[in-house]
Amino acid sequence: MSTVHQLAGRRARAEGGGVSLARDLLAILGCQLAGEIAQRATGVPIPGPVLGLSLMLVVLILRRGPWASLQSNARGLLKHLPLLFVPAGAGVAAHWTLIRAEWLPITASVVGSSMIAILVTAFTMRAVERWQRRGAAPEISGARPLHTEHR
Amino acid sequence: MIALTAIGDAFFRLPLAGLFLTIAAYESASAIGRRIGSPTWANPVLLAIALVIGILSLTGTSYQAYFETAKLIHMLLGPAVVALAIPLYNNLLIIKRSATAVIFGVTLGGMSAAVSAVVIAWAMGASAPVMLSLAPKSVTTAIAIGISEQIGGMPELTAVLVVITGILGAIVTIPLLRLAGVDCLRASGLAAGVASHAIGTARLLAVDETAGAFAGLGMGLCGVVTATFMPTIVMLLRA
Repeated sequence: MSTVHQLAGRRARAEGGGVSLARDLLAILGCQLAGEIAQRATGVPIPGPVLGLSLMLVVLILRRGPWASLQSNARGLLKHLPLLFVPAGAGVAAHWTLIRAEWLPITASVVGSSMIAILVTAFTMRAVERWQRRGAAPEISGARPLHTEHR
Repeated sequence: MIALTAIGDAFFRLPLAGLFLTIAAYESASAIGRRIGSPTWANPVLLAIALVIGILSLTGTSYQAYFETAKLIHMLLGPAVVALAIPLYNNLLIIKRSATAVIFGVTLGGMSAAVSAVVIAWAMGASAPVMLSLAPKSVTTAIAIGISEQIGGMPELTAVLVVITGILGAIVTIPLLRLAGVDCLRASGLAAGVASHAIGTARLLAVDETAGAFAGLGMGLCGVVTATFMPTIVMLLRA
Protein backbone atom coordinates (compact mmCIF):
# COMPACT_ATOMS: atom_id res chain seq x y z
CA MET A 1 0.00 0.00 0.00
CA SER A 2 1.42 3.36 -0.98
CA THR A 3 0.86 6.27 1.29
CA VAL A 4 -0.65 9.53 0.11
CA HIS A 5 2.80 11.11 0.33
CA GLN A 6 4.35 8.49 -1.88
CA LEU A 7 1.58 8.94 -4.46
CA ALA A 8 2.02 12.71 -4.42
CA GLY A 9 5.76 12.34 -4.86
CA ARG A 10 5.30 9.96 -7.76
CA ARG A 11 2.90 12.38 -9.45
CA ALA A 12 5.30 15.30 -9.02
CA ARG A 13 8.10 13.31 -10.65
CA ALA A 14 5.79 12.33 -13.51
CA GLU A 15 5.04 16.04 -14.11
CA GLY A 16 8.64 16.76 -14.98
CA GLY A 17 10.91 17.10 -11.99
CA GLY A 18 8.42 19.09 -9.95
CA VAL A 19 8.87 22.30 -11.96
CA SER A 20 5.37 23.56 -12.53
CA LEU A 21 3.22 26.30 -13.98
CA ALA A 22 3.05 27.81 -10.50
CA ARG A 23 6.83 28.06 -10.28
CA ASP A 24 7.08 29.54 -13.80
CA LEU A 25 4.47 32.16 -12.91
CA LEU A 26 6.32 32.87 -9.69
CA ALA A 27 9.56 33.48 -11.61
CA ILE A 28 7.87 35.76 -14.17
CA LEU A 29 5.78 37.71 -11.65
CA GLY A 30 8.76 37.93 -9.31
CA CYS A 31 10.88 39.56 -12.03
CA GLN A 32 8.07 41.96 -12.90
CA LEU A 33 7.54 42.87 -9.25
CA ALA A 34 11.28 43.45 -8.75
CA GLY A 35 11.21 45.62 -11.89
CA GLU A 36 8.25 47.65 -10.56
CA ILE A 37 10.01 48.13 -7.22
CA ALA A 38 13.26 49.17 -8.93
CA GLN A 39 11.33 51.62 -11.13
CA ARG A 40 9.63 53.24 -8.14
CA ALA A 41 12.80 53.31 -6.07
CA THR A 42 15.00 54.92 -8.73
CA GLY A 43 12.40 56.89 -10.72
CA VAL A 44 13.93 55.83 -14.07
CA PRO A 45 11.48 56.50 -16.94
CA ILE A 46 11.48 52.80 -17.94
CA PRO A 47 8.38 50.70 -17.11
CA GLY A 48 8.64 47.97 -14.46
CA PRO A 49 7.92 45.11 -16.89
CA VAL A 50 10.81 46.19 -19.16
CA LEU A 51 13.16 46.25 -16.15
CA GLY A 52 11.69 42.83 -15.21
CA LEU A 53 12.55 41.56 -18.70
CA SER A 54 16.18 42.65 -18.21
CA LEU A 55 16.29 40.97 -14.79
CA MET A 56 14.82 37.75 -16.19
CA LEU A 57 17.41 37.81 -18.97
CA VAL A 58 20.22 38.18 -16.40
CA VAL A 59 18.77 35.25 -14.42
CA LEU A 60 18.59 33.11 -17.57
CA ILE A 61 22.19 33.94 -18.48
CA LEU A 62 23.39 33.06 -14.95
CA ARG A 63 21.42 29.78 -14.98
CA ARG A 64 22.53 29.04 -18.57
CA GLY A 65 18.99 28.88 -19.87
CA PRO A 66 15.37 28.44 -18.81
CA TRP A 67 14.09 25.15 -17.40
CA ALA A 68 11.85 23.14 -19.72
CA SER A 69 8.45 24.13 -18.36
CA LEU A 70 9.38 27.85 -18.25
CA GLN A 71 10.46 27.59 -21.89
CA SER A 72 7.13 26.08 -22.95
CA ASN A 73 4.89 28.20 -20.70
CA ALA A 74 6.57 31.43 -21.82
CA ARG A 75 6.09 30.36 -25.42
CA GLY A 76 2.42 29.62 -24.67
CA LEU A 77 1.89 33.06 -23.13
CA LEU A 78 3.68 34.85 -25.97
CA LYS A 79 1.72 32.92 -28.59
CA HIS A 80 -1.35 34.82 -27.40
CA LEU A 81 0.38 38.18 -27.02
CA PRO A 82 -1.89 39.84 -29.66
CA LEU A 83 -4.97 38.92 -27.60
CA LEU A 84 -3.65 40.93 -24.64
CA PHE A 85 -3.91 44.20 -26.62
CA VAL A 86 -7.63 43.92 -27.34
CA PRO A 87 -8.96 45.54 -24.11
CA ALA A 88 -6.62 48.56 -24.47
CA GLY A 89 -7.28 48.74 -28.21
CA ALA A 90 -11.04 48.95 -27.76
CA GLY A 91 -10.36 52.20 -25.87
CA VAL A 92 -9.62 53.88 -29.21
CA ALA A 93 -13.37 54.22 -29.77
CA ALA A 94 -13.88 55.84 -26.36
CA HIS A 95 -11.27 58.50 -27.20
CA TRP A 96 -12.36 59.09 -30.79
CA THR A 97 -13.24 62.74 -30.12
CA LEU A 98 -9.56 63.47 -29.34
CA ILE A 99 -8.56 62.35 -32.82
CA ARG A 100 -11.53 63.66 -34.84
CA ALA A 101 -10.63 67.35 -34.62
CA GLU A 102 -7.23 66.90 -36.31
CA TRP A 103 -7.65 63.50 -37.95
CA LEU A 104 -5.85 64.38 -41.19
CA PRO A 105 -2.48 65.52 -39.78
CA ILE A 106 -2.67 62.70 -37.20
CA THR A 107 -3.29 60.02 -39.84
CA ALA A 108 -0.56 61.39 -42.14
CA SER A 109 1.90 61.59 -39.26
CA VAL A 110 1.21 58.08 -37.89
CA VAL A 111 1.30 56.39 -41.30
CA GLY A 112 4.23 58.40 -42.68
CA SER A 113 6.47 58.24 -39.63
CA SER A 114 5.79 54.52 -39.06
CA MET A 115 6.91 53.71 -42.60
CA ILE A 116 9.97 55.96 -42.26
CA ALA A 117 10.92 54.34 -38.92
CA ILE A 118 10.56 50.81 -40.31
CA LEU A 119 12.67 51.58 -43.39
CA VAL A 120 15.35 53.56 -41.50
CA THR A 121 15.75 50.84 -38.84
CA ALA A 122 15.94 47.94 -41.29
CA PHE A 123 18.26 49.68 -43.78
CA THR A 124 20.56 51.00 -41.04
CA MET A 125 20.90 47.55 -39.54
CA ARG A 126 21.59 46.01 -42.94
CA ALA A 127 24.09 48.71 -43.90
CA VAL A 128 26.06 48.32 -40.65
CA GLU A 129 26.15 44.52 -41.02
CA ARG A 130 27.36 44.79 -44.62
CA TRP A 131 30.02 47.27 -43.57
CA GLN A 132 31.15 44.93 -40.78
CA ARG A 133 31.24 41.94 -43.09
CA ARG A 134 33.55 43.78 -45.48
CA GLY A 135 36.20 43.30 -42.82
CA ALA A 136 36.00 39.54 -43.52
CA ALA A 137 33.90 38.86 -40.42
CA PRO A 138 32.25 35.43 -40.34
CA GLU A 139 28.87 35.04 -42.01
CA ILE A 140 26.03 35.89 -39.64
CA SER A 141 23.82 32.90 -39.02
CA GLY A 142 20.08 33.24 -38.67
CA ALA A 143 19.90 35.33 -41.85
CA ARG A 144 17.16 33.29 -43.41
CA PRO A 145 14.83 34.90 -45.95
CA LEU A 146 11.60 36.10 -44.36
CA HIS A 147 9.21 34.85 -47.01
CA THR A 148 10.05 31.23 -46.34
CA GLU A 149 9.07 31.57 -42.70
CA HIS A 150 5.28 31.86 -42.99
CA ARG A 151 3.38 29.34 -41.00
CA MET B 1 -32.56 48.02 -29.80
CA ILE B 2 -33.95 48.56 -26.32
CA ALA B 3 -33.86 44.80 -25.71
CA LEU B 4 -30.20 44.66 -26.78
CA THR B 5 -29.34 47.51 -24.43
CA ALA B 6 -31.06 45.69 -21.55
CA ILE B 7 -29.22 42.44 -22.32
CA GLY B 8 -25.91 44.31 -22.60
CA ASP B 9 -26.54 46.08 -19.32
CA ALA B 10 -27.27 42.80 -17.53
CA PHE B 11 -24.37 40.98 -19.24
CA PHE B 12 -21.67 43.50 -18.34
CA ARG B 13 -22.73 43.38 -14.68
CA LEU B 14 -21.44 39.81 -14.61
CA PRO B 15 -17.87 39.35 -13.46
CA LEU B 16 -15.59 38.29 -16.34
CA ALA B 17 -18.16 39.31 -19.00
CA GLY B 18 -15.51 41.41 -20.74
CA LEU B 19 -13.00 38.57 -20.44
CA PHE B 20 -15.40 36.25 -22.26
CA LEU B 21 -16.24 38.86 -24.92
CA THR B 22 -12.54 39.61 -25.54
CA ILE B 23 -11.52 35.99 -26.00
CA ALA B 24 -14.64 35.25 -28.09
CA ALA B 25 -13.91 38.25 -30.33
CA TYR B 26 -10.25 37.24 -30.69
CA GLU B 27 -11.09 33.62 -31.55
CA SER B 28 -13.76 34.76 -34.05
CA ALA B 29 -11.32 37.24 -35.58
CA SER B 30 -8.68 34.51 -35.97
CA ALA B 31 -11.25 32.15 -37.52
CA ILE B 32 -12.48 34.84 -39.94
CA GLY B 33 -8.87 35.65 -40.85
CA ARG B 34 -8.10 32.00 -41.61
CA ARG B 35 -11.34 31.63 -43.60
CA ILE B 36 -10.40 34.48 -45.93
CA GLY B 37 -6.82 33.25 -46.31
CA SER B 38 -5.09 35.35 -43.61
CA PRO B 39 -4.46 38.51 -45.68
CA THR B 40 -2.11 40.93 -43.88
CA TRP B 41 -4.76 43.63 -43.42
CA ALA B 42 -7.04 41.20 -41.58
CA ASN B 43 -4.87 41.47 -38.46
CA PRO B 44 -6.55 39.52 -35.61
CA VAL B 45 -6.01 42.37 -33.11
CA LEU B 46 -7.62 44.88 -35.47
CA LEU B 47 -10.57 42.58 -36.25
CA ALA B 48 -11.08 41.63 -32.60
CA ILE B 49 -11.02 45.29 -31.51
CA ALA B 50 -13.55 46.13 -34.25
CA LEU B 51 -15.80 43.26 -33.04
CA VAL B 52 -15.60 44.40 -29.41
CA ILE B 53 -16.30 48.04 -30.32
CA GLY B 54 -19.23 46.91 -32.52
CA ILE B 55 -20.78 44.86 -29.72
CA LEU B 56 -20.26 47.61 -27.15
CA SER B 57 -21.98 50.21 -29.33
CA LEU B 58 -24.78 47.81 -30.30
CA THR B 59 -25.58 47.10 -26.65
CA GLY B 60 -24.94 50.68 -25.54
CA THR B 61 -22.23 49.54 -23.12
CA SER B 62 -19.62 52.04 -21.96
CA TYR B 63 -15.92 51.28 -22.48
CA GLN B 64 -15.39 51.57 -18.72
CA ALA B 65 -18.00 48.86 -18.00
CA TYR B 66 -16.31 46.56 -20.53
CA PHE B 67 -12.76 47.28 -19.36
CA GLU B 68 -13.64 46.63 -15.69
CA THR B 69 -14.50 43.01 -16.52
CA ALA B 70 -11.76 42.52 -19.16
CA LYS B 71 -8.91 43.86 -17.00
CA LEU B 72 -7.55 40.39 -16.29
CA ILE B 73 -6.34 40.06 -19.90
CA HIS B 74 -4.90 43.58 -19.90
CA MET B 75 -2.97 42.80 -16.72
CA LEU B 76 -1.17 39.91 -18.41
CA LEU B 77 0.69 42.41 -20.64
CA GLY B 78 3.33 42.95 -17.93
CA PRO B 79 4.15 39.25 -17.44
CA ALA B 80 4.16 38.80 -21.24
CA VAL B 81 6.82 41.52 -21.59
CA VAL B 82 8.92 39.75 -18.92
CA ALA B 83 8.43 36.46 -20.79
CA LEU B 84 10.06 38.06 -23.86
CA ALA B 85 13.33 37.36 -22.00
CA ILE B 86 13.01 33.72 -23.05
CA PRO B 87 13.08 34.22 -26.88
CA LEU B 88 15.76 36.87 -26.27
CA TYR B 89 17.86 34.35 -24.35
CA ASN B 90 17.31 31.68 -27.02
CA ASN B 91 18.68 34.10 -29.64
CA LEU B 92 21.41 35.63 -27.52
CA LEU B 93 24.27 34.43 -29.75
CA ILE B 94 22.70 35.88 -32.90
CA ILE B 95 21.90 39.12 -31.04
CA LYS B 96 25.49 39.43 -29.74
CA ARG B 97 26.84 39.09 -33.26
CA SER B 98 24.48 41.84 -34.47
CA ALA B 99 24.99 44.11 -31.46
CA THR B 100 26.57 47.07 -33.28
CA ALA B 101 24.03 46.96 -36.10
CA VAL B 102 21.19 46.75 -33.54
CA ILE B 103 22.41 49.81 -31.62
CA PHE B 104 22.72 51.91 -34.79
CA GLY B 105 19.39 50.65 -36.12
CA VAL B 106 17.49 51.39 -32.92
CA THR B 107 19.05 54.83 -32.40
CA LEU B 108 18.50 56.08 -35.97
CA GLY B 109 15.14 54.31 -36.31
CA GLY B 110 13.79 55.58 -33.00
CA MET B 111 14.88 59.14 -33.68
CA SER B 112 13.49 59.11 -37.22
CA ALA B 113 10.14 57.86 -35.86
CA ALA B 114 9.85 60.78 -33.43
CA VAL B 115 11.25 63.50 -35.72
CA SER B 116 9.24 62.47 -38.79
CA ALA B 117 6.02 62.21 -36.73
CA VAL B 118 6.43 65.80 -35.52
CA VAL B 119 7.58 67.20 -38.88
CA ILE B 120 4.71 65.59 -40.85
CA ALA B 121 2.13 66.75 -38.29
CA TRP B 122 3.61 70.28 -38.37
CA ALA B 123 3.57 70.36 -42.19
CA MET B 124 -0.10 69.29 -42.19
CA GLY B 125 -1.02 72.07 -39.77
CA ALA B 126 -1.46 70.16 -36.49
CA SER B 127 -1.69 72.12 -33.24
CA ALA B 128 1.30 72.09 -30.87
CA PRO B 129 -0.23 69.76 -28.22
CA VAL B 130 -1.16 67.23 -30.95
CA MET B 131 2.39 67.41 -32.38
CA LEU B 132 3.89 66.74 -28.96
CA SER B 133 1.42 63.90 -28.33
CA LEU B 134 2.51 62.28 -31.60
CA ALA B 135 6.24 62.42 -30.85
CA PRO B 136 6.48 59.36 -28.54
CA LYS B 137 3.81 57.24 -30.30
CA SER B 138 6.21 54.48 -31.43
CA VAL B 139 7.29 53.40 -27.95
CA THR B 140 5.42 51.18 -25.54
CA THR B 141 2.41 52.78 -23.76
CA ALA B 142 3.87 53.22 -20.27
CA ILE B 143 6.97 55.05 -21.61
CA ALA B 144 5.01 57.03 -24.21
CA ILE B 145 2.53 58.41 -21.66
CA GLY B 146 5.36 59.49 -19.37
CA ILE B 147 7.19 61.29 -22.19
CA SER B 148 4.00 62.92 -23.49
CA GLU B 149 3.30 64.36 -20.03
CA GLN B 150 6.86 65.56 -19.65
CA ILE B 151 7.07 67.38 -23.00
CA GLY B 152 3.61 68.96 -22.84
CA GLY B 153 1.49 66.62 -24.98
CA MET B 154 -1.87 65.05 -24.10
CA PRO B 155 -1.23 61.67 -22.41
CA GLU B 156 -4.73 60.28 -23.21
CA LEU B 157 -4.28 61.12 -26.91
CA THR B 158 -0.79 59.56 -26.87
CA ALA B 159 -2.19 56.34 -25.37
CA VAL B 160 -4.65 56.01 -28.28
CA LEU B 161 -1.98 56.89 -30.87
CA VAL B 162 0.35 54.25 -29.44
CA VAL B 163 -2.26 51.51 -30.01
CA ILE B 164 -3.07 52.74 -33.55
CA THR B 165 0.64 52.93 -34.41
CA GLY B 166 1.17 49.41 -33.06
CA ILE B 167 -1.61 47.90 -35.15
CA LEU B 168 -0.44 49.78 -38.24
CA GLY B 169 3.14 48.59 -37.76
CA ALA B 170 1.99 45.00 -37.23
CA ILE B 171 0.16 45.18 -40.56
CA VAL B 172 2.67 47.05 -42.76
CA THR B 173 6.16 46.00 -41.55
CA ILE B 174 6.47 42.72 -43.44
CA PRO B 175 4.87 43.82 -46.77
CA LEU B 176 6.69 47.19 -46.71
CA LEU B 177 10.11 45.62 -46.15
CA ARG B 178 9.44 43.00 -48.79
CA LEU B 179 8.62 45.81 -51.25
CA ALA B 180 11.85 47.53 -50.21
CA GLY B 181 13.79 44.31 -50.82
CA VAL B 182 14.75 43.60 -47.20
CA ASP B 183 14.29 39.90 -46.58
CA CYS B 184 16.16 39.55 -43.31
CA LEU B 185 14.36 38.23 -40.23
CA ARG B 186 16.56 40.13 -37.80
CA ALA B 187 16.20 43.51 -39.55
CA SER B 188 12.43 43.04 -39.99
CA GLY B 189 12.03 42.14 -36.34
CA LEU B 190 14.07 45.08 -35.11
CA ALA B 191 12.14 47.48 -37.38
CA ALA B 192 8.77 46.19 -36.13
CA GLY B 193 9.86 46.58 -32.51
CA VAL B 194 11.22 50.10 -33.02
CA ALA B 195 8.25 51.39 -35.05
CA SER B 196 5.39 49.56 -33.36
CA HIS B 197 6.49 48.31 -29.91
CA ALA B 198 4.80 45.19 -28.47
CA ILE B 199 1.95 44.92 -31.01
CA GLY B 200 4.51 44.77 -33.82
CA THR B 201 6.55 42.34 -31.71
CA ALA B 202 3.51 40.07 -31.31
CA ARG B 203 3.09 39.94 -35.09
CA LEU B 204 6.75 39.10 -35.80
CA LEU B 205 6.82 36.54 -32.98
CA ALA B 206 4.02 34.71 -34.78
CA VAL B 207 6.21 34.54 -37.91
CA ASP B 208 9.51 33.47 -36.34
CA GLU B 209 11.11 33.32 -32.89
CA THR B 210 14.33 35.04 -33.98
CA ALA B 211 12.37 37.85 -35.64
CA GLY B 212 10.29 38.13 -32.45
CA ALA B 213 13.42 38.26 -30.29
CA PHE B 214 14.84 41.15 -32.35
CA ALA B 215 11.44 42.88 -32.19
CA GLY B 216 11.41 42.59 -28.40
CA LEU B 217 14.96 43.95 -28.32
CA GLY B 218 14.00 46.83 -30.64
CA MET B 219 10.97 47.65 -28.49
CA GLY B 220 12.93 47.70 -25.22
CA LEU B 221 15.97 49.60 -26.51
CA CYS B 222 13.86 52.10 -28.48
CA GLY B 223 11.87 52.83 -25.32
CA VAL B 224 15.06 53.48 -23.37
CA VAL B 225 16.63 55.62 -26.13
CA THR B 226 13.46 57.67 -26.66
CA ALA B 227 12.86 58.17 -22.92
CA THR B 228 16.45 59.34 -22.49
CA PHE B 229 16.75 61.68 -25.46
CA MET B 230 13.33 63.08 -26.25
CA PRO B 231 12.75 65.30 -23.19
CA THR B 232 16.27 66.72 -23.65
CA ILE B 233 15.73 67.43 -27.37
CA VAL B 234 12.38 69.11 -26.76
CA MET B 235 13.95 71.24 -24.02
CA LEU B 236 16.78 72.31 -26.36
CA LEU B 237 14.28 73.15 -29.14
CA ARG B 238 12.27 75.31 -26.76
CA ALA B 239 15.31 77.27 -25.58
